[in-house]
Amino acid sequence: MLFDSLEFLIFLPAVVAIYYLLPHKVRWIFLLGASYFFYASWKVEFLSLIIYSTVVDYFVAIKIDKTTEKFKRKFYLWVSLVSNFGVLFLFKYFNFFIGSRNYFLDFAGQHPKVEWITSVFEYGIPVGISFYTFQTVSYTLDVYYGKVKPEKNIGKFALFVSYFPQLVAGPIERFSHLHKQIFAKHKLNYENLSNGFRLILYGLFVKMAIADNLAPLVDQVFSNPLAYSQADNTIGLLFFSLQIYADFNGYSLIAIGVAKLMGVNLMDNFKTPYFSTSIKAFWTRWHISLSTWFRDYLYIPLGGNKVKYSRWLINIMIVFIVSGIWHGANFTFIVWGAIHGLAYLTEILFTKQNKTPTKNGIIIGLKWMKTFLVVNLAWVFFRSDSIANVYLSISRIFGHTPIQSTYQNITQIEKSNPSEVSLNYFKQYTDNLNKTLEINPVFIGLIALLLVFDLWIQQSRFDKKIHAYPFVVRWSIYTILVFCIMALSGSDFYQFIYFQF
Amino acid sequence: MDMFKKISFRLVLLMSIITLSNYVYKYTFYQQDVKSNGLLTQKLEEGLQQSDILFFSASPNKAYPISDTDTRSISRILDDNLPNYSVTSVDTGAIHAGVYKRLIQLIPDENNIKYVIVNMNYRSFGIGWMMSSLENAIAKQSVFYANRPVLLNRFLQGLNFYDAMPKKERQRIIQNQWKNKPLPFDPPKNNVTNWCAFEKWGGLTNPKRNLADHYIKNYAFVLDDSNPRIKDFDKIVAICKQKNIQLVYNILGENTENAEYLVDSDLTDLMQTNKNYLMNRYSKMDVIMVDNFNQIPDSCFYERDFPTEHYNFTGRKITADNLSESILKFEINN
Repeated sequence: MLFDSLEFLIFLPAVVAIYYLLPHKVRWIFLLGASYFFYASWKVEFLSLIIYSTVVDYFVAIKIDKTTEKFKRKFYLWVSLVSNFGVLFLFKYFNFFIGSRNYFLDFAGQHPKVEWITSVFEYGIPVGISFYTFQTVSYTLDVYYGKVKPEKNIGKFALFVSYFPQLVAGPIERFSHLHKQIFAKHKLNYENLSNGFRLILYGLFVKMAIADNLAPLVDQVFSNPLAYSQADNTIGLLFFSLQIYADFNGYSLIAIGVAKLMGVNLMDNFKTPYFSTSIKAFWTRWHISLSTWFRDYLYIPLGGNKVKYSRWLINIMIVFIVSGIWHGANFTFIVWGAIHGLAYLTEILFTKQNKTPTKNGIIIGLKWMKTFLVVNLAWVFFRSDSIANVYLSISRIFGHTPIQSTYQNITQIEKSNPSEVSLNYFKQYTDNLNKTLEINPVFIGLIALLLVFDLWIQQSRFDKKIHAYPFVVRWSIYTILVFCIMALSGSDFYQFIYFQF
Repeated sequence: MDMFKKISFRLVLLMSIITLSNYVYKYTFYQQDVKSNGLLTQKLEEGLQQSDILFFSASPNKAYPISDTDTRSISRILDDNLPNYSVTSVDTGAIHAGVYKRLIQLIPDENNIKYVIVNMNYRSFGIGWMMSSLENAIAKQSVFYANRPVLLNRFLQGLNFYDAMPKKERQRIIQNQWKNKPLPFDPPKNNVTNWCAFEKWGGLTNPKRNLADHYIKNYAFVLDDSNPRIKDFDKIVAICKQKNIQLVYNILGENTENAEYLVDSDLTDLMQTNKNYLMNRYSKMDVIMVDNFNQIPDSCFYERDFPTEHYNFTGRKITADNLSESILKFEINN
């Protein structure tokens, strides 16, 4: 059940209405049932994985809390880490870590057990597994570090793990922030309802009218970069930057809005990241709940910046590469993380010499441009299925003619399948490419509208900004949003990008 | 109480905005959507206004090749064969009974239509077609074939309120069925996967081997009441009865000659059994059944590297002639 589906538009008001009608004592039981129902609507089998994580972390956290022996506490922590990351590994990274799937194909037919194992884990990546795994792991770590006391009621803990508004795509919440809010007594409050609906409305606009319209265009270019011109490849890349931002930001806003309806404030996940003037700033404004997770549970435990200078730089690289791996089991994500890491390190080395922040508009503009370029070029790795396809896209974007032998050599090194479409194009490759990206002018209008909204919102949020305007202005904006959502949204079937993570 | 007043007022306001938006959409972007999505609503409306016979079809109605001596479609030839009736074709590529059903439902109860002819394409009952990668787009268009305000239809499209699933999932379902759905033969012909593996034409580099595999994949299945297309055709019968329109099912010709040559008579026997099932089932439901199944010779099939129902003029003429003959016979008897 996606947020932008009819099922959810029926499910949500029903859940909210019943939630407020029920007595406070039993609300959490109802929410747990609703959350499990919500998750089971994808594949009921995968519910067992959430229950498994819940049970393990519930008992481990209590054991950690009760034990004073350092060794035992560490042991229990490792039990949690191994079981949580073990499941994540099996379902998400198994085929990659055994040397990418193609190594396995060599064995097909000879090792039936191996075939069986791969077929089980190719059943599909459980929706949102990386999100709820990180949330439960953060809980156990918080208990281990003594930051929070463990929840004694397994049902209530289960609700913390599976709370439906942020279950499948975040924001990844901390126990200390979410737990007490879920179980607090919330009264039906007009402000909460109003702000919740504002966020849902704006989130639907961003997701359905922007991201879903861009998806088919991006898909066309990235599935066959050779067929499109340099300009089309560049536009395709820019469109992907907008698509992934709109897709994920829209979804996060809806999640925050849904929780708000029930009185819960989830953390912000995006703050107009493309206006950043440095990679460092970008990561404080993009997928904030994940970057702060890595800061708190990886970067700081590694020693953060309280270590030798060289070690500090290594820590930063580790965090970015792990962040890349978090996104998916592919070399492309690792390189994507590494590019951000290297850009981040370059900034550190540069700002070490010039510590005073500039107020010069031209310099700020240049910095913004540099950041935007780095982020966009890194997206090529994020979007492409293989490094070989990255080679094709980058070549086209920079006006270079890709060489077939180089392409095939890369596919051999990374053990990816050369794309048939690309091979066919190589055979008849000329500068007269026969495909053109057809862009509906309405899309340009919608993108312009998003830009206007982002310039207006800056580092605030839609609900907070619009609140200050008079009724007529507010409802005029709602009218535009409603029309865009209902009449102009993308109608092709494309799954939410971050579901694969 | 104050809060409920506020909420009620805003809900009314929202409904007014949506109603207004429906009109704005209808006279602006809807026309563009009809054009760019190849919606059949306009063809249907034209047919309802000016015809006695509505002819529902996928691509077989078109002329193949375009340079054919006579490029008239099946429906055009039929129109010429029946001077007392005017025929309008409501057709577009790759659609099937699931779509026809929705379109026929749009015919008003009070109408001037004498006959509804629906092409019955044997391959459309197979899993390969039902789970085709084109299905998402077809299902998306079908959202518009419903008597709802146009803005609501468009919104439902945006919400992917149609049978949409990832390509990979469709492939998985197809492979699963080919592997696990039994066929009424002893191994190795007990399922599609095994049958394809046991091919007389050798390795996959042999084009005949590839083509034979396509024939098995498209033609080898057992038709029964649980088939979703059967349910669609049953529904069409019910709708036509309700609207008092005589229904004609036209079983399209398949290349049984080539199927027997490339695979064997087990395959053509199975096809024949399935065809007989269709004939028996719908004859009992008072549908005029036109059987073109074995009527089109191999030479009339345009595509040579995949089993299709794309015929040259001779093939189209045979089909149309059989149709008109069946209708005229029905009229004499009634």
